Amino acid sequence: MKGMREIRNRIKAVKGTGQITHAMELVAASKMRKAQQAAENGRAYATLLMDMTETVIGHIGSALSGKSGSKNRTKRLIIVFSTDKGLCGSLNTNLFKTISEIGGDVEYIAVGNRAARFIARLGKPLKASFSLSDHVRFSEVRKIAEFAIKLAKDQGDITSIEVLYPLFVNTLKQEPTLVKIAPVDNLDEFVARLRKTYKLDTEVRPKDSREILFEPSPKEILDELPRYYIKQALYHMALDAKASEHSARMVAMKSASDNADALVHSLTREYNKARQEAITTEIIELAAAAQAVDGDG
Amino acid sequence: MALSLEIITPDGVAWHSDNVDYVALPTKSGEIQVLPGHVPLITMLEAGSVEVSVQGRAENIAVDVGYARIMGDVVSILTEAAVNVEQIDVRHAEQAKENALKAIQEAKKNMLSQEEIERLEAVARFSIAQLLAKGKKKS
Repeated sequence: MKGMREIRNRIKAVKGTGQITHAMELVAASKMRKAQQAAENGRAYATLLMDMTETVIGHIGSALSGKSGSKNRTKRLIIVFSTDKGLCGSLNTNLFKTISEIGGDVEYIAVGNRAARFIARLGKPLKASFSLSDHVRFSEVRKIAEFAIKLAKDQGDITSIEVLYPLFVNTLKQEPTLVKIAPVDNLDEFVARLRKTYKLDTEVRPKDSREILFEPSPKEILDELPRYYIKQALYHMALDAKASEHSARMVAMKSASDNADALVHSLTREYNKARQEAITTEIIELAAAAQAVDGDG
Repeated sequence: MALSLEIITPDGVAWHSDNVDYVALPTKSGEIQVLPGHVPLITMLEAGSVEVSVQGRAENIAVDVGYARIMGDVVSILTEAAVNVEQIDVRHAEQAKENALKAIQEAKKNMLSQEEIERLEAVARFSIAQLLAKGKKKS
């Protein structure tokens, strides 16, 4: 009876694990779809923002006065989107690889405690650490954006705000991507990016041929717009990072479930072999005993 | 002829109707009332209450800072948060406001982290806007 009971126990344990990973796979799949849906819901906002910007720019000609360029600004501020929980394959590892490759004078804001821990371990300056829930709301992202903008303003030595996040390519592929979101010295660039992300081609602007008014003034409207762009961009990236996280987790859990199935299969084979062996031994013993009895008689 | 009003937030379209008689907007340079046939306008909004009348029935919607565009009898409001007054629980908003203000005071005393202050200020601003909108509805 060599280890039959142990094998049986292992099969049971592996089956249980497989069930858990399978459930996690399904949960991740549904959360991924929700994140994608939320990104899709942002389309109306992006369209309107873009439309207004184009109207204002079209009216006053220039696209924004470049305020940057002062020489004592040397630092970059990078916002890193990682996850709070593990079990999502190489998603965080890939991000961290990118972080270690970034040199120079950089300060970080971590979103998700994985990144916070990693950056702290590296001894790089970590300015703040945030967490996002699974269903990201705009208000959660807004505070990150406002904190970053305020920090850049107060410190006065930050040249750019950048975001490092896992870009959702497809369910199997997420690429760490570094994007500059501030300063916005060229709104045209941002409009072009929005157009690309949301694939906006058709103009849905209501028709009105009368002269348009701007209050308080086109300049003041334009000066405030970059804030909206930064927040919108950050929100979109946060949703993308969430979609990436859940798809990475889904794939990791899928392969874990597959491995569990394979393991159960080979363990069952081993178990059957052991069982057969036990039966054979028993028969041989019986036969031998019978022969011994016959021999006596 | 009727106006269309859409209130758009990053989370989606928060409010929409094509049968609007008039809209009152809290702009930076004071409240303005928009009737059908208004000249095209882009304006900046303060946090406050948008009053809208749909077929004679007035509604108030609390909005955060943002922009409004009036063009061809379509009023589009771009804001980061909006709540219909029907859905606001005054006690809840009051409580949120008090908590936030109290926390801001304490934070300034104890030098709490900047991010926390930032967050609380946003909460306070929006809950005050909600209260304003609700109060207007009652009066």
